[in-house]
Amino acid sequence: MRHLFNLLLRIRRRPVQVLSFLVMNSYFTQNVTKGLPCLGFNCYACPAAAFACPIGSLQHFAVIREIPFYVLGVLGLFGALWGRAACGWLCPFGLLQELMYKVPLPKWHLSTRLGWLRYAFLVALVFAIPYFTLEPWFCKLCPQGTLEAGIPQILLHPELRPLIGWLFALKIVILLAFLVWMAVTSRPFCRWVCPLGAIWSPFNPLSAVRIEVDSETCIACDRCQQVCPVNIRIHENADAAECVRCLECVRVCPVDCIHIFLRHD
Amino acid sequence: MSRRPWLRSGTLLLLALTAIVLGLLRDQWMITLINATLLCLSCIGIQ
Repeated sequence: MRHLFNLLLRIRRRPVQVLSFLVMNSYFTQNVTKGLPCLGFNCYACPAAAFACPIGSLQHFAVIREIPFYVLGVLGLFGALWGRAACGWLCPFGLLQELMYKVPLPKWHLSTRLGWLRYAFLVALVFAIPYFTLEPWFCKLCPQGTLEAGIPQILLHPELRPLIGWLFALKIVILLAFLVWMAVTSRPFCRWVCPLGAIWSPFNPLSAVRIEVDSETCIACDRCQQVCPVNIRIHENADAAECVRCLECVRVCPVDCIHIFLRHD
Repeated sequence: MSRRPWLRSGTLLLLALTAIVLGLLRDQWMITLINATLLCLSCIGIQ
């Protein structure tokens, strides 16, 4: 297993993220794979989407008032194996945020103190409000949905254009606000908003694959925090709920004190 | 460190697999497929 982890550390993350985006939107497999929730934030209303958005599916189950065993099981299976790793390696919206953060603008570093907000979004917009209003309200506001589905569907179907109203305008404003925020703050959607991240966050301290920091070797140089896309100090809490398991900290640690390990190692 | 460190993740894996089987028995795969295939206009901002 140690060899496998060493191999993983040699794999570059960006090509994996791009490949994941392409697979999630591979179009031709739609008929076979669209009943499977994807491991990332990818709108199923995108014309090319090949998988179901787990958050959209959860809202649908809330609307039809049925416990979403299947979707939660698929998400739980991955979470139990590797915590929030899908956020760091597979999520197309995570990729977009990382690319936007490369835009040369002054950066705005925020603490993750209000990280609990994403749990509030999960409970309110994904479960409670859809359950009572019978409408998937997270989808109606989702910036990824606007980018991957709203705009492409309007471009592909001119007959829909006369039907555009205030909700579409609101979605565009939300998307633009997030794009600007992404350019100045690293992964803001993951840290404060993402309900999918909120589902996977509690798995970080419980998952089979985990990160550990050897506190005796650590020199607290904060190099890990500098490269961390969610700005956490992994040497203070290796199980932080915000950690997206991207393993950048493991790669850059100058004294090699951060390790990934399987629980039974 | 717990004496059986794999117990929590093992239990979670088992729970997740049970949930998947339970969901499949309730045709939730088909419900997910149909919901994902039908285009919800109001979800993309069309009223």
